[in-house]
Amino acid sequence: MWTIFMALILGALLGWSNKLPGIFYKYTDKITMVGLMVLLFSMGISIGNNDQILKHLNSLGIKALAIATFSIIGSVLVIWFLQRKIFRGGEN
Amino acid sequence: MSLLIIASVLLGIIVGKMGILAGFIQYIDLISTLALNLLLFSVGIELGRNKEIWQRLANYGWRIILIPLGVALGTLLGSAFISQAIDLPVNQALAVGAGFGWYSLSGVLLNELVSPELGTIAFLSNVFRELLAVIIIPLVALKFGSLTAVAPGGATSMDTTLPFVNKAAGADIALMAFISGATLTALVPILVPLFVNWPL
Repeated sequence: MWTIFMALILGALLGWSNKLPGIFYKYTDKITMVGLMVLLFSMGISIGNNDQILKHLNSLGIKALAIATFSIIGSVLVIWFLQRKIFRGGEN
Repeated sequence: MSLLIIASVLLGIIVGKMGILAGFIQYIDLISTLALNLLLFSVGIELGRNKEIWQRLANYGWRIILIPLGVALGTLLGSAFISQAIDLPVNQALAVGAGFGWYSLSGVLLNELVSPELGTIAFLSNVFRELLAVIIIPLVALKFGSLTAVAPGGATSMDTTLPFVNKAAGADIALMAFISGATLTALVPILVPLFVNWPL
């Protein structure tokens, strides 16, 4: 948790300082993508390695998917409302 | 891009299921942590470079806190709305929703506090939220405006889904997504036990 903050702050300070060589910025996109794929691959292994989760995937999966879907719909709608009512000035 | 993500997860599940790389399992936590730090480091560089973001953020002021509160409110309304259709008590559906995508913590919490069944639902639901967020963020940003890109990821907007917000909505919205995700992350261990103990 704290190391995450520190990584972000350290990156932000380095970016802010403009002291990194220009060529470095060309690779930040690729670094981001590779880091993400490693993360998702590791998450997949955690799921595949857990028999309990695989066994319950069908029976509980539908309920889980329903909550996830409606959580996303609800939160998008509320933020959409906020964007129209409050954040109009900051929007593009 | 989305295909690459789904492929990464599926490949991981297959590898995990088949027990290939069994010796690798013990290093997953370490590797995930390192990958996450690398990811956030590069996102940090992007944020730091774009100095006008901080100027804009100062212009928003106190209103920034409305974003995580709005994501939380919408999540809980959506969870409560669907609870009856999936035969779950309202408070249990709210507790699952209040994981805000943080599947590891909400799964463990509900496994301990309620039942392994609800723990599994919480784990899966929040995994699904993260996966669906990755897929839907670009669409949502396009159809509903860039600010709504902070909503689908919930708490994961501060780490795993942050790069997608950054890509779909720009670095200034990504900064708000980070603040929103960090606030929601702090709310998870408070709200989940609260809803479990809320008699409904």
